[in-house]
Amino acid sequence: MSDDIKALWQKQETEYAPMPLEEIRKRAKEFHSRTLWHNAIGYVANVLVALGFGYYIWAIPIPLVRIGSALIVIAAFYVSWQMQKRIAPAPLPAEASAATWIDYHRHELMRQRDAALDTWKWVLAPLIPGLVLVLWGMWSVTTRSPLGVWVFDLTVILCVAVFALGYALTRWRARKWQRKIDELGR
Amino acid sequence: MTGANQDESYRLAVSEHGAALGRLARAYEADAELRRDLLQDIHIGLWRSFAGFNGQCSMRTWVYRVAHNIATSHVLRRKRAAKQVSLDVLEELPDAENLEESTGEKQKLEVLMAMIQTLSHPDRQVILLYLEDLDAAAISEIIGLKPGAVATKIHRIKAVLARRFRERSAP
Repeated sequence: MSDDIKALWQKQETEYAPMPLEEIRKRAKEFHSRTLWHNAIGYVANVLVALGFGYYIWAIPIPLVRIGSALIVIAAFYVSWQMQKRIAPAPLPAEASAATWIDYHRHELMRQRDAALDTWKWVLAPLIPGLVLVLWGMWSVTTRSPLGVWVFDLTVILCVAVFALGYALTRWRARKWQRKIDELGR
Repeated sequence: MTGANQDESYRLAVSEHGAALGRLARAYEADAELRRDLLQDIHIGLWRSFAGFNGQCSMRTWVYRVAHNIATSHVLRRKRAAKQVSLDVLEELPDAENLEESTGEKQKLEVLMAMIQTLSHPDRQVILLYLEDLDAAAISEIIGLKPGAVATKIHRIKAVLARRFRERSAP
């Protein structure tokens, strides 16, 4: 019976159509172009962030807010740079792509897990110093009326909640990848 | 490996295993458009990989390793992957799920494909290589599991297939 199923499997029609070598080479180069395009998008994002917070530096005459905004601009550039470095697609070395499935799969899962764990370090943490200074600056000029204090407190709570949620999400994703790695070892 | 050798190795690999790569892509990706992308990625990855091929293993082992690795990355990238089950779950399916002998080949193939697409790793890789007529030693070399573990999986796969297709497994 096994042979029948194998024969059935092997004689099935597929959409397979050989790609000419020229086409393969062209597409391999396009992969490289995709990386460059990815970098270009990151560069545009950098410029937008710089313009936005640059405006705050120029428009808000509070020294702490200005310094904090400048730090956020720097952090945004750093985050974008890290994103390009870590997320942009890159072709695998020939040897790595032909590793045994277990080795390759474990490596891929560990890469995903580490990326999730590191997100905290290179996405959230760099923004904290600037954000703290901006909040501190805002506090220094907040009217001490109940409404002013309430609005400020709410802003701080929202910031902390967003960061805590981001942190929890990265830990949850890392645990998910770790479970898959553990399953491989069984 | 020189560019000419790389091209020649790729040509040879495709002439010998091209159809199997098409079947592999079909088993990994149900969506036709994404399947075309996957197959394209496999061919590009394979051509690129031959730059580092110096006979470390047989060409067949090399081709299947590259193809399964790229397909696995494809599955990992999918945001909403279908729920996957292990062989244990398939073994527990009630007889009502079985197919009659009279069922047409097309339907049988559809059921087989659906079963493979729901299998978790590395059961999926093992069954696909088994269906391509590779023995336990060859599958072990591609997957990286011990030959004994692969043999056990093959034995279980045979039993599941026999039950699902209402026929007796070979002794």
